[in-house]
Amino acid sequence: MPVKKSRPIIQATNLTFVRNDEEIIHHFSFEVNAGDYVGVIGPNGGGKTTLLRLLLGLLEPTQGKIRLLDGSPTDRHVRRQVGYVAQRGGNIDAQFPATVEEVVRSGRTARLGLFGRSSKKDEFAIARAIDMMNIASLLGRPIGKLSGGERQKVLLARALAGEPKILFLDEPVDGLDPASRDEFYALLRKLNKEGLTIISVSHDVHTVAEEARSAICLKHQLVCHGSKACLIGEEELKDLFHKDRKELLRHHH
Amino acid sequence: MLEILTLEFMRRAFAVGLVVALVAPTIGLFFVVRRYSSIADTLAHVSLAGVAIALVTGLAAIPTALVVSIISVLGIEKMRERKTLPAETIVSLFLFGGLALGVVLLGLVRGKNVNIVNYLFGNILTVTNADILSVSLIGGAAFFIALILWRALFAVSIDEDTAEANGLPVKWLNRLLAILGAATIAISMNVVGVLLIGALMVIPVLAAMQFKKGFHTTWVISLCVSIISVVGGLMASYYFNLASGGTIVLCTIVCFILASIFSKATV
Repeated sequence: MPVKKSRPIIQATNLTFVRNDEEIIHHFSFEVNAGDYVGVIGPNGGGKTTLLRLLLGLLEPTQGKIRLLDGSPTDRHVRRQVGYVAQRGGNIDAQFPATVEEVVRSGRTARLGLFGRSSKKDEFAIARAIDMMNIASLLGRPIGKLSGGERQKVLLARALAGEPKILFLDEPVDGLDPASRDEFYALLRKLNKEGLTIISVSHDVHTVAEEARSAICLKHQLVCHGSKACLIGEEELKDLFHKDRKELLRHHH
Repeated sequence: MLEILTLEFMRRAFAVGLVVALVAPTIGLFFVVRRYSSIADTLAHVSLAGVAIALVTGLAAIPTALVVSIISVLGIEKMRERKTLPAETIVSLFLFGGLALGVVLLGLVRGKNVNIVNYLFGNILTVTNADILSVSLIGGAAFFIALILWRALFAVSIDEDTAEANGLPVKWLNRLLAILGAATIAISMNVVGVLLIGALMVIPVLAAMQFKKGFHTTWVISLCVSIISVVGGLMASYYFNLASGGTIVLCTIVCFILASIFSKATV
């Protein structure tokens, strides 16, 4: 699928991140256009999650600059337009006493502000997120009693309740069974078709090759960025994973 | 029941007790769900140092304990944000520091007609009209701030990273919650004492969590447990001449056991 010609929604320039004297991300730049579906791919420990956290403003770059939407990732008005689904349901404790409805509603909190009251528009956004994820039957259930697939759908609904312009996902299908994975990816395709920009971190080359419109391949440095051509190139994949392309794709089938 | 209410000191005790019963689990809920309930114990020990400072200097105990707790809790949050030490070790550092300072200062006022046991274990007889005023003002403020910021505190409690990524002021909400915790400890000293206040913040919430319900329902159940325990504990302490603080906490434990049994039968 061709990448839509559109304005850049993310601009990272000369990005470097150092932690404990170790260079996790080394000096790279890239742009992401509005409406794109970007797969961030690379080996474990290659800096994928760090890049995501930098883009979300949860980490500060050691050097370089990130421009997200029309500002910095730490600007409050920018953050309110961002959705995030963390790896394996984030840090939500299985014992946490919350229903699915309470969790989805919490995705609207930042939009409302600290003292804001829920309006009809807010209720509509929450209802739409629940409807899109088809989780109405789960609303009264405790979050800790859901299966992995149900939980990820609930967390995606929470992110959508905030009506984001960009959706960041960190290994969103990690630990899910194949049927739940297919369902989750179908939902992402639908959201992207509706215009939502998606940045999804994965270590699964096959899935990124299949699902995303473009790719960012990184192993501390930017191996390649742009079309998915880099996922097809033998040399780049060997460089990334120290495995042949055939072997990688077979492994994930 | 009516006889007990004819006594001025019991009326005061019920007034203060009910404020504490509303505030303690409301603030405690946010600490428990974040697995950060050890902060309640630390603040209790730090507030003991505040009481000791008040006894040495002649200042009012509750406001002094509140100020010392707030300073400490902001120090804890600052160190926690830096992430150079694990949160539990920072909490321990302040717990032992507060206790040590309290012991040293209390040594200075030993024999000067000061009954520190009242602050350690609570004593309903020590509740004065001034206490009712300060407990109502501080407790009322803490309770309503928590209710106003309920949605934001919930979002931060369930997933701090996502809340921050979405633009909630996580750092400030954490600091505010810690201050509300300090306020809860300060107002609870006379009722259950500094050594047992952590129990009133934590055990009603644990009892409510046995039912595995939503956040709002868990809060309502924890309030019921807390009110029943405070009223029941105060009555038992009056009729059976028992220590009020310990009796109230034992009531919360009975509620916890009943909740465990009842929830297994119903869930």
